[in-house]
Amino acid sequence: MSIEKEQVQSILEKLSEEKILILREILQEEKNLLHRKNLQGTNIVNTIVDIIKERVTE
Amino acid sequence: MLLESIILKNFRQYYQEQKIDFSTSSSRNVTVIHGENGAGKTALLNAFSWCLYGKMDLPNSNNIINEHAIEQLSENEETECSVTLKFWDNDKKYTLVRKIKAVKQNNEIIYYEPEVKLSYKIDGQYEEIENPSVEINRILPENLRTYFFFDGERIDNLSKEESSEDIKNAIKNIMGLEILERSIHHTESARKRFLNELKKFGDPKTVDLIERIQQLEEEREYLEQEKQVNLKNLKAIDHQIKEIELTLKKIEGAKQLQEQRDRKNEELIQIREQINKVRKDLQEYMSKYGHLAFAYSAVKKSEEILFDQTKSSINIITGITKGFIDELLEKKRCICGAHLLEGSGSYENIKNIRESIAPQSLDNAISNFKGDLKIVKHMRKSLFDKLRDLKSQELVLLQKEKRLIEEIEEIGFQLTKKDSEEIVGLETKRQQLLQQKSNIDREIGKLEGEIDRVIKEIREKELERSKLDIMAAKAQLTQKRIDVCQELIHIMKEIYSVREKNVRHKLQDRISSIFSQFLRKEYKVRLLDSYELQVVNQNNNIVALSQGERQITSLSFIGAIVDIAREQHKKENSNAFEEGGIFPIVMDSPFGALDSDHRERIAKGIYKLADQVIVIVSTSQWRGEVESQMAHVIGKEYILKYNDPRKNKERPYEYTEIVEVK
Repeated sequence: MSIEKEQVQSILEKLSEEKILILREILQEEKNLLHRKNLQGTNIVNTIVDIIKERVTE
Repeated sequence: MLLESIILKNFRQYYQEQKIDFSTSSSRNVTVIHGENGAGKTALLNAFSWCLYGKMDLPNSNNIINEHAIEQLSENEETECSVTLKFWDNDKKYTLVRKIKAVKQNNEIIYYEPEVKLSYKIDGQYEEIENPSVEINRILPENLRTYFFFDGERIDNLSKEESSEDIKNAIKNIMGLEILERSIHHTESARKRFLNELKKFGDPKTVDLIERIQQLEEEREYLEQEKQVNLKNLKAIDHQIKEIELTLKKIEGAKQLQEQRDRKNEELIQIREQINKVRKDLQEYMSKYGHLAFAYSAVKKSEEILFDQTKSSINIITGITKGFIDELLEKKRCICGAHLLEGSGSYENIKNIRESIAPQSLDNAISNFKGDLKIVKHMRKSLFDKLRDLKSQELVLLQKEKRLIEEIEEIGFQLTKKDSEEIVGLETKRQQLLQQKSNIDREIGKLEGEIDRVIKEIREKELERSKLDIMAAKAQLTQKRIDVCQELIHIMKEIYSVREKNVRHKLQDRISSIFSQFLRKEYKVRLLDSYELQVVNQNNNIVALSQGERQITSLSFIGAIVDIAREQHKKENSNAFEEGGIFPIVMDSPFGALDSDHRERIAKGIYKLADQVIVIVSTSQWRGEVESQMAHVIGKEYILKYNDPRKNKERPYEYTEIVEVK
């Protein structure tokens, strides 16, 4: 494993699995938006709010 | 991004439609376009910039439409010029068209506003993009256009300090840091949304606190922006000062003094670096061993207890074991040889001693502790010696700094006393700028203080809010979501910082390796924090580069960026935030200022750094070393054929035709 990967890994270890999942989803949405896989005009902030609402329920 | 084709229609000297299909082959990735002087090589390079960004670096840049096409117009007739660029990016095929129309009215040519249309093909259908400039900038950042579209005859890229911040951001974007940057920004907006939501569920006190936090956050954003503006101004002033100093160096009467000042400034920078290092050492040493400074009374007290039994309230004997005393009592003989008669005073004495002997573990602990005390005392002494030493080093350096500042001021004073009005004017302006700089510096300090205060207050209010335990269940859930946002932002910032450092290291290594392949001399290239390049010689002194060497430095820079971005893009199992991309390098006359050896070095390496290389070159630059190194990787070849009106009686006007070499 590269040094960078190790460093990132140790940062991610501070997060619970659920939060890692949220982080991954946010990054994926940003990536999709950047590549315009979604429709134009998508509101990314709404999407992030929805992701968090869906994952943090209690 | 991989370029597929370019179509020029009535663009500058390209009359009617002319098309170039670029090689997209992976093994033969070079497209060569030959053109002699005046055939339109630079115009072709500019066609890319015009089409993508609406920018042109050509003389008479308003005359975009072909002269003959304009001349042919009759009254009220329209003509148009356009550049169409077809390219691939992330498996999508884009078509970008920029065109401008002109009409002849009352014998005058009136130009319309240019139009730009960007579309991409998806499921066989073309979809138009509403904000073409945003999308283009994302695919190929405009700030890097002079690197991707490399004009070998105009190498001023490295001296454009004022745009270094933009270049830095553009590089970070194409190196895959954009996703994280955007995620941080957008998650922050999501957090603010939840905070607003919290107001709906909270009691009046909570609402008050939230409103105050929102106010403070707005204040912080404003202060941060102010700070950025000031930092930009500071850079601009620095640039102006450098310009003045350069001009002074060119004036005979000021040259010597300015050079002296340069040397002293250089020395001052080094001294300040040393001062910082000493202060850092002091800090580190104090944080590691500073506690020893306060150990005096504890050490003294321990010594009193352990070494001076008369002052000690503890009556224990160490150094001998109970077994030893038992043996004496059993043999009834003292170590001095005296007979120990049971019941005698001596016998009872020895027996009493046995009761005061410390247990074995305590005995060991006391002996270890005595040893530790010695070490602590020694370390405490070393701490003071070291601190004294560092402090005296700092003092010497501060004196040197003071002396240098005075000497530099003296040079300034001498320059203002010169006979030449020009020198005095320049120096006075320089000093005014220095004054402005120091004012801005102070302003930045003030802003930083304000920012710290606001951040502290935000933390206090957040804490206060979290302590309010009268939250409704709904509010608690929203609070939890806010906390998740905050935690994720914090983690993303940490990852960003790791990645940024890594990108910089990678870029530095790659540039160094490419630079050493391209350049014959043993110079080293350094990537500064601003992502500018600095070339130094074996003695670590900054060198003034020739035009050819600057070409090589620029090519190494862009080659390294393209190479790393490609590596990132093709990497398997990459993280969600790793991006990279494929970028072409388009070069006009890249070998012009290079000698034969350097031409060979560049030609040998450049096509390996990018998936697509387009070389626009004259015959004399191409023939020989370049041709022999690159012939085997040519996928497409064209000639820019200039039509000489004196020779072509059928078409007696100037234009350039693009002809494919088959």
